[in-house]
Amino acid sequence: MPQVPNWRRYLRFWRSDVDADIDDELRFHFQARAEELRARGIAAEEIDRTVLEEFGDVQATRQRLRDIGERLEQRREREQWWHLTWTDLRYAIRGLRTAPFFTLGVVLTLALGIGAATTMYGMMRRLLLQPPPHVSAPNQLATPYFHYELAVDSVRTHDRLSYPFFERLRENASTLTGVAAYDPTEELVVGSGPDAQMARATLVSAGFWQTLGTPPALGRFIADDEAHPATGARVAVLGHAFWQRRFGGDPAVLGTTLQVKGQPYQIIGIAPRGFRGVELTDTDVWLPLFAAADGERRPPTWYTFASSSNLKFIVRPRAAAPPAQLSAEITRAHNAILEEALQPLPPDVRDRMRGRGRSVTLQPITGALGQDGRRIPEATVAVWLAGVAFVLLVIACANVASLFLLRARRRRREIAVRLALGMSRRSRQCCSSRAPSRRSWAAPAHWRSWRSAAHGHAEPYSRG
Amino acid sequence: GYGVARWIRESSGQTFRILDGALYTSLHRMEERGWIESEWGHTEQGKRAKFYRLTAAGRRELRAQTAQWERYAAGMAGVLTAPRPA
Repeated sequence: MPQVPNWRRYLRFWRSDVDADIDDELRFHFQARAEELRARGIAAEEIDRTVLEEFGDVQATRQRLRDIGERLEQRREREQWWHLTWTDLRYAIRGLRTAPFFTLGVVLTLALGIGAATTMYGMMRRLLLQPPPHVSAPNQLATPYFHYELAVDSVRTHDRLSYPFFERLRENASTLTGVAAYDPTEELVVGSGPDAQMARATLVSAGFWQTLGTPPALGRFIADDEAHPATGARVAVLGHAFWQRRFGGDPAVLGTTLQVKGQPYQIIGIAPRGFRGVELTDTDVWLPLFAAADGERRPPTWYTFASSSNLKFIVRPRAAAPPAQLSAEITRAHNAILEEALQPLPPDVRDRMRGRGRSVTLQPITGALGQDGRRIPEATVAVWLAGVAFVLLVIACANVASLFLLRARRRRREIAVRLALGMSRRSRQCCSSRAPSRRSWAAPAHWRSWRSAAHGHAEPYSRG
Repeated sequence: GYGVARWIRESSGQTFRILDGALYTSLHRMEERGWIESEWGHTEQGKRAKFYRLTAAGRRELRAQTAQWERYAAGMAGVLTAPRPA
């Protein structure tokens, strides 16, 4: 049998050597059996043959034993690790309980740092990273921005235009699969009498829901013919949060009437949770464009003025549309609208208003990109605040680290003795035998408990 | 371990001859299952040897296996000694 080199026995200090153990066990067996046979007077060659015969396949057995041994050893190591970790954890918790101010300070500092950082990150995420919820393929949507160059180096950019522009785009643009217009800035009176409250409303045009690709949570959305500014219907879609707040999430609210600006509107659907169009703020009620003039005394042609700028737009270009054609179409529509708007003015004013040039650019809707593709100011502020919150978190961690260092320094002697005891045995169980006293300088009590524990644990080692 | 091998050989009256390799494999497997536990000790001659001991779980398993074997043996004996069907 191969002899295991002696130096391998020193590896046993860290971990049982599976191979050497197997060798020892089998060697003992062979020797004992050989002794027995020799005592019966059998010849030497006979002994060797008999012993091997009785054993069977030595190599295969050793391999199997080695596999089992390895598995056992791994399991033992894991259990020991867990036991160590668990006792250390219990010791740490007990130590913290005897120093409540320290614990409180650490917890508060970490809570503040983590809380601030998380809040800022959440804000930043909403502003910059997250696409609008429940909008399908938001990266394909775009908002047109209208640039007017009036004089040299003076370009004004607007993102709003009039209803005729919407109609023109809808009818003529073949590169777009969806056009929508909406007015997000209304604050209306909703309800009547004691129930009345101000609510944020967004007025939407035909094609709004189809362009965004949003499915309703309940009921249906405003149909195209209902959304026309002149010939629409009095229907409303509730925002999810508003529905929860005011109606308690009751599905029976569908079909009932809600007073909007004093007029009865039928609730036909509920928007999905978190849906806010492409804006950053929530909307309580989604109304057709028809509701803009409802209950007010406006001329019936209020929406036909090409020069009004009350609506924002979303377009969804066709996937295969060449960008040149797309921008050409939109620019054409824009120019036509501008000409229409300038019609009633005298010619010299017209020339002046035309200015030097105008263009339309399409910007993606996700993120905090504002006009010209630069970040909107709110987003810049959010990024800076996030940076500040992160620095705050780093400072909090540094504070906690220094608190721990202080604590460790006070317990230097205690730790040194524990380490010294721990080196000669494999576990630090001496700490768990007695609970530490209430005073922070508990050295005398610890000394006594360690000495007795050390004596108790020395016993098993005298045998082996 | 060696003692177990010798004891089996002697008490079964030489009827059971198991390969010692298989015996050691079974011993280690039983240890892995937790039915026996082992300890390194020294024999009277001062040699280093492994000593095995039953655990509580091992004792339970032993009782269960013994009962099973006895049922089997009783059933076999019943079949063999039953009168032939007429």
